[in-house]
Amino acid sequence: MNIEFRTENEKTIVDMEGRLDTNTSPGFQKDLEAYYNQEGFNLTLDFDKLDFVSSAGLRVLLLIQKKGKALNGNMVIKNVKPEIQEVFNMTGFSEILTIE
Amino acid sequence: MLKVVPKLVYSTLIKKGNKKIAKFDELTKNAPQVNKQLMLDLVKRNASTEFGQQYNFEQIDSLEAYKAKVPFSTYDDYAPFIERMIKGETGLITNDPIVHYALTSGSVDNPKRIPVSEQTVKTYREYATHYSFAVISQAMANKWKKGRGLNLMEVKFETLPNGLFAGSISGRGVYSIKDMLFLMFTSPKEVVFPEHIMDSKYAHLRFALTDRSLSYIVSAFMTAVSDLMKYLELNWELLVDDIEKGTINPEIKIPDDVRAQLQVYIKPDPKRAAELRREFEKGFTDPIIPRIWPEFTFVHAIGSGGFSVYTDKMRHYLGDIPIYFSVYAASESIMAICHEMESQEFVLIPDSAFYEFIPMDREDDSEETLTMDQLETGKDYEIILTNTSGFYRYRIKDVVRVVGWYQNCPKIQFVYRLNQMVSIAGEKTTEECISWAVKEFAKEAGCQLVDYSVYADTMVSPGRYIIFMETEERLAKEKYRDYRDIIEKKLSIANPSIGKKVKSGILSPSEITFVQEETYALYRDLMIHRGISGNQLKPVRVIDTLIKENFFFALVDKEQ
Repeated sequence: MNIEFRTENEKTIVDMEGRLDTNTSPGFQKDLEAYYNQEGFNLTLDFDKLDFVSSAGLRVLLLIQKKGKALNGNMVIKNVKPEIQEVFNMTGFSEILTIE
Repeated sequence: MLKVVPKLVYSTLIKKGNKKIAKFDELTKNAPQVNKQLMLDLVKRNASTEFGQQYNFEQIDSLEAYKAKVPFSTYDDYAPFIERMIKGETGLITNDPIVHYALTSGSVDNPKRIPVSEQTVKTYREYATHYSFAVISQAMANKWKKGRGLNLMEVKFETLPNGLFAGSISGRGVYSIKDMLFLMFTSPKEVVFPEHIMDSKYAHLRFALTDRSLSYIVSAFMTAVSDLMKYLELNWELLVDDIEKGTINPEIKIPDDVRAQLQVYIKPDPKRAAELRREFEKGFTDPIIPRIWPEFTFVHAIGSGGFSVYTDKMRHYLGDIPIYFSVYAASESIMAICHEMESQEFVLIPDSAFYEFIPMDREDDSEETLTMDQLETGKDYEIILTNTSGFYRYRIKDVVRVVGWYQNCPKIQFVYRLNQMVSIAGEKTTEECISWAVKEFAKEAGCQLVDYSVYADTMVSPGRYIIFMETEERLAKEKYRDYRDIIEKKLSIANPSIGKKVKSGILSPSEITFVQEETYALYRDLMIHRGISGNQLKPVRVIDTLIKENFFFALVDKEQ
């Protein structure tokens, strides 16, 4: 999976490409740690080029969401493909995450 | 901390426990009479309650009268009383003071609040703490050096309108020994009584690893112990670095004020860190626990029946260190206790609740119950409870098997929950059958199980079983047909009725489905996120709700 960071109106945008799965989610978590450990973090994950999210990937998203609660942070996910949206809907993540 | 302090605390507990064992031995000699008398005492004591008046408790002076006047009950029968009790009314179902409400793990949307009396808390304390430590002490003798333990039962309570706490019953047990807690256990109060979400696995291990003399781990369920060890396997480098430097890694999720408080207890310990690193670098193939904690003597957790897959995993970390399988208990009552190490048989506690039994092999719909003296070894029974907190002839929906006798008291094993039994065409498949079939499958397929569930698929006709499974390593896709045949064969041995019904076309052949790695861990994370206490998380054995159905189907490993 490729990820690229950019800043837009004080928001950190993360462009994600490929698959967020067992192999890639530990690296993804590590790369994002510096961002979601900051008080009041403001992250947008752009899923436009992301094809797949596995259980391991969902665990990382849940972790960041929990961090958001603890640190007054915010994570928004946008441009979600229908197949990933369906996984979010079926697992209950669409009620937990902020999806645009 | 001086080693002598925990030793003194344990000695006091064990002394009380030895007395409890002696008393238990007396009680079990006359268990049926003791048990019946408990029911008569409860009825007499609670005759003036609203429930007692409704069912004419004052006229009950025999077992026959009790059965005739009081119908079976379920939680719904008590729910209106409990609502009023939470608002402050008393004397509704019991005259004994209620001191706690146990939130059950059963339902996410509408957890039940089970009233818990002071008497019930006392019984829990006397058996789950005093009695059990005395049994362990007698079994382990001088091997148990009585250092501190690692307690994974966290206390997270909400306050109700009547001022009482609601939370897990195991948490209430820990709360009841709160003054001794920090002499007995390694984790500080900020970890045991968490006020905010934090990385509790890290926090427990951060303190336990620094104590070379750790004696044991205690948890409500084996699931939490197994998860903790998996976390250790994945994160030992981070933990050891922190122990060496006397830090808490900034990436660990702990609220700032708690972090600052925990930091007060921490000092750099390069010597211990070097010792731990040496052992972790050798890998986890050989049992790790005796290598990092040389005085470690036992694990104390519910780990039989549906939890056995986690117990099997723990053996890998423990080597030949024994397990004390604790109790057979629910929010409503502690019902039975192990009287020896490693035994997975539980002796009914005759002074904890009054028990009635319905034989599972009864062919008619009669609701006539048996008492403990009428039970037969090897037979299965639904257990009906009258507890010390105001529930009468309560259908807890558990089925137990009588596996022997301790003096005049039955020894039992939990077999399955009635509402967790799967039956598509009357074949009645229990958790026990599924567990056996899945474990046999893993042996034959040569894989390591992470977890499993069963789903009754009635969207096809005829209906069929789908076994959901997570394995440590991905299985070969081209062997899928073989795997399906293996599980079909094993299910048919576990429950011959399945095999017969598949052959005669009443059931479709069973299916096996593998879910993605970390699916079961994700489910547990989600439940905790939704407010279920980690103490209460039980394995998902039956996919029986739309929420579970959607969740597990969404995470099927389509590449397998």
